[in-house]
Amino acid sequence: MAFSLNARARVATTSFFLFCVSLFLTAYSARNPEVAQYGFSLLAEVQRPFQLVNSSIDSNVSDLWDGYINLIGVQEENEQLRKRIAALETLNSTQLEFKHENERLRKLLGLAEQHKLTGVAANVIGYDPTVLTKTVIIDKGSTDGVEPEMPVLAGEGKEGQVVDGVVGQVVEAGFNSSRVLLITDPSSAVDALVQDSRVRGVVRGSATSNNCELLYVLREDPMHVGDRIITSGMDQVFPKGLLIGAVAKLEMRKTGMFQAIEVKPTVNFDKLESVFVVTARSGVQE
Amino acid sequence: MHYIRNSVLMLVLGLLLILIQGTVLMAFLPAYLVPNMVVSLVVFLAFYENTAFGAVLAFLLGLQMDAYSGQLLLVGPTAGAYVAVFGLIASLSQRIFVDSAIAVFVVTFIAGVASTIIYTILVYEFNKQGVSLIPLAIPGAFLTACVTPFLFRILRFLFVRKSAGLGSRSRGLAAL
Repeated sequence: MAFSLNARARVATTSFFLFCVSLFLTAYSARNPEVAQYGFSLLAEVQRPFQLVNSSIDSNVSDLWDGYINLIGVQEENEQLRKRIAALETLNSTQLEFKHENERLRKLLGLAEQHKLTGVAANVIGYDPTVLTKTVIIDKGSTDGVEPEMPVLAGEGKEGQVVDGVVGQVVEAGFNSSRVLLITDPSSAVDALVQDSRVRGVVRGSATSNNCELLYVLREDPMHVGDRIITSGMDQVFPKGLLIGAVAKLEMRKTGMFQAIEVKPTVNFDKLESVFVVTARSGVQE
Repeated sequence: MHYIRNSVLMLVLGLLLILIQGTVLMAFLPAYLVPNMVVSLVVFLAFYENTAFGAVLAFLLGLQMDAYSGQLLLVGPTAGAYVAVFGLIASLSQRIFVDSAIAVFVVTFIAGVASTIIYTILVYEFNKQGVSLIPLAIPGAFLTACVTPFLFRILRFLFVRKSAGLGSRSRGLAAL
């Protein structure tokens, strides 16, 4: 008999022993996160060339698709966009007036004109292979000055340039690549403000959707669908005033102190291609 | 000697499949629809290398996945889940006719869901929301089960000697 009782017992014993080792490793790495860092650094270097090639192929295929094949309904969309541009131009002139007024007031108040962010632009070259966590791999690492806990924003930001929105923060930095924990991951939390009402809360990722939750907003605080959520800067990770998203859904529970608020992030994480890692801020020693 | 060669080949294959999942497939499919082909490898090992050595390989494949994936920055939960799934399937492997694609499909689907459940239990202390991910893992497990019969053909070609037959199934890698 090829698979005797003894062999079965040996397999069961080994499996049980290795399962116990896994439990020990899980507990140990929870207390010593650098263990995970070593593994990531090692594998990241092996994977990087493959990821770069894939990223390049993916980009070319997307360009081909968007440029030549995906043209169905473009005329109709074009008409809609023309109307939208006309509406936005009107809105834009009003906004410019507000902007100028705002700048004058800021100067009067002696506040800093704008966040001066310095950092590195990076490309997304890989995603988490499971549905259980939401992370991406970028092509910049410690040799480019990227370190854990650095904030990551969307867009190819340059020095002083305002970027699109908050992506997440670096959790592991290899030599030439890093892992970024997205704000949509359930274990991510960002201290936030409602831009208009200045109500404070914490934006946390959701396990089941690409949206986030705004936690700890009291029932009596005024909230509306569409309210813009920005970073408060209180968490010492993200600079103040960066756009996180907008309120997508509000629910007033019958019991409890807080409202249930769903936030739709500004960044489209499904189409995230390039990011900006903030390595330093003006006046802040990093 | 063959043991070492095939073990290295299996681990390289595991790494390649993780890379394909994390790059090519993730770029075109939503995360919950991406098949986890490393689970397919673990199922293959449970059938064709149901020895202590196979358990070690399943453990190493899990560690690879832990190192690559975010997984809350923990090393070990996926390895634990894969070893547990390996142990369970290996104990039943002699009673399942693995040449049938339907049997492979069913076993892999169960293995995919079971590994997610075990993983979720192992990390529950760190991610209590993770329980709500279990239903999300079902489409992924289904697709994993769909691709596994095809993957098994390739794996049999790579690892199982034609003349070995079913009788030596438990000595798959070693028999080479």
